[in-house]
Amino acid sequence: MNDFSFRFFDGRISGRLHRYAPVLAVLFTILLLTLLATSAAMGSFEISLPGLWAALTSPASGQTETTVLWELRLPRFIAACLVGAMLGLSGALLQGVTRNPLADPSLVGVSQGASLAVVALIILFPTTSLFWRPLCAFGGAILASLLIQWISAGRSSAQSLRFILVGIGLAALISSVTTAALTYGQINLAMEALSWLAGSVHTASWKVCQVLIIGFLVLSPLLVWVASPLAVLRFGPEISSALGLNVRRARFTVITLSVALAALAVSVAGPIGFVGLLAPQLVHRLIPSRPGTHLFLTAFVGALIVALADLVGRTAAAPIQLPAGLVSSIIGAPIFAILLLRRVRTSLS
Amino acid sequence: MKFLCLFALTAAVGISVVALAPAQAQETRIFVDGLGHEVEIPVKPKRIVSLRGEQFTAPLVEMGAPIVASVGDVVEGVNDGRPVIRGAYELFHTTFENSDIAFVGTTHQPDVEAIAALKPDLILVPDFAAENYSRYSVVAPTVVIKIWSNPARERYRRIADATGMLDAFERLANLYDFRLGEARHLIEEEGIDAQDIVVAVAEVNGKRLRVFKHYDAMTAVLSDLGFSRPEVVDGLNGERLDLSPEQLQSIDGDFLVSSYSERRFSGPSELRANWDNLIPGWDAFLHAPRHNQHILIPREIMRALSFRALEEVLAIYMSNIVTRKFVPFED
Repeated sequence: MNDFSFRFFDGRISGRLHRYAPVLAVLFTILLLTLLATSAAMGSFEISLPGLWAALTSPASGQTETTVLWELRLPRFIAACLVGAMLGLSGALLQGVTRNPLADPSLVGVSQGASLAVVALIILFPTTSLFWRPLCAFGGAILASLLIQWISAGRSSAQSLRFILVGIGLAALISSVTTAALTYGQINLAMEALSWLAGSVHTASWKVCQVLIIGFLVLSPLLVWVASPLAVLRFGPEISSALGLNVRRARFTVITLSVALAALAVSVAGPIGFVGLLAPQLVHRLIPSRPGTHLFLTAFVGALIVALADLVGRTAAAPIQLPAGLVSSIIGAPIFAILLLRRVRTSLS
Repeated sequence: MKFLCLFALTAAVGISVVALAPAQAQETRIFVDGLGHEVEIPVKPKRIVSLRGEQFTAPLVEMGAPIVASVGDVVEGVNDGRPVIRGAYELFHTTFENSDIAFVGTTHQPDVEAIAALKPDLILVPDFAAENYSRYSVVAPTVVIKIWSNPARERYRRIADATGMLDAFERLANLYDFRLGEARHLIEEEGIDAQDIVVAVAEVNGKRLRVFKHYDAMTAVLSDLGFSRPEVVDGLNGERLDLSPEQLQSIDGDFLVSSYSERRFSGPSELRANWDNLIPGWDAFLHAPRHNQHILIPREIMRALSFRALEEVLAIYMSNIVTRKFVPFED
């Protein structure tokens, strides 16, 4: 018996949780707070601990310590956490709906669509205002994923497989167009585009955080709502239909939510790899939980991965700044390989 | 005695007042930058941070501006693998090691905290990096300069204006104009009509044959001397055009100019090999290379926004086109 039940307000709020879920939530919160403290204290600009405390508790305008802490480090940390949480959630939703543990936002063309849109904007319209860049990334991500959903739409039970195959194919096609644009574009512009493609939260400001928080708050009710259809979808389309679920509608809603989350994250930070793939898998390895708990914990892990990647990226070789996307790939690739090997071993045994 | 004590007390108070008085605030003015921001900047900045090597740091070094930091790039085989300031390294051999200029990260992702630690009073940002404008501007007054706007001299003047170095700019501009005047005078004396000499600026990069209408000092000096361009280039709206190798004939003229990289694996021999790979027999087909009238110019020097670059390219053109006998191209 690994689960326990809870009931509040005369049963109006009730549920069942894995017994380790609250423990993990507390552990992740402590880890996140530790990372916050480390991120606030570390950087190219040295701040003593008393100075840090003073800047935190009684910020004085015009003081460099205050500026570095409140305008540079904190918004960057918060943006990294939100981007990571969104990418992790997006991956968890996709893995749930496709019942494929290798699904991530790049599968539905989000990263590729956003990348192509931004690269095209930089190379074809270099004088366009930078204000359009995140909007363009968001539009590109949505368009690419809609195209993949539209092509893969069908009534057959093999829809998940079809969705994955169409996703991989179209994402590869979009990537090849992006590569062509980079190859034939002016070298300076191509370098600028490549810098965006590396994925980083180095441009994060409070305004960016505001956009991410608002987006997250708007999408949160949907996240709560999709937990129960996701629980049913785990049994496959036939059983889900037999249980009374409108499979097409549920699948469309979950994928759209996943795309919206990833598009928002990518529009701010560029494509940051492995987070959508790794965060849900790590949580799944820790506790095999129900979708609601799984999503909740995945958001924590996603936030931890990107915040850690950003901290390492901006301090490890300072003043050279390594993009969070590069660091997350360096950290994520071996972990993912280990997870895969374990899975293979388990299935063989 | 009383007088002496009073004098000592007055002197001590006076010295203390002078010593403890806050540093006089810098005189400021409003500067409208390349993206239309109205920025309050010091009239005479004392701690400038440059976020582009060959476009900002090189001209700032040339003008002798008080620059405290710059971005740099790590290039294989250059400066023993340590970061270099593009343009300033090749033109003036200015490095982070032999100057007071601090390294604050790479061109595409500078370290804002490292910039803040230097307490700058002006940050120059290229327009392509302006997405981070809000973060730079909380550190110091930040000015965006459009680095692909032409003419280059106007761009240089904007940098000089923002950094309070207009006097130095005028001095350097006058020197270049004097040398240009001397060169034009020599052309006239030699009985050469510059308009009759057609010079194409073209390069082969990978699978592309590219011709240029504007390419930093390489084309600026050609225009200053009054040489002509092939028709296909003259009609261009933009800065450059990719041509099919089959259109090679359209860039034929008296001289052909290309730039080579001073860096490893892309020097003059690699440049010729690129041409050979894309268009075998090109040097027999085109008039200029057939008659040894293909001029090669070092790219990093030519690309740096500076009067020194203009003067060096001017000297190359004078010795390769004006002061020697060459075989004229006939249509």
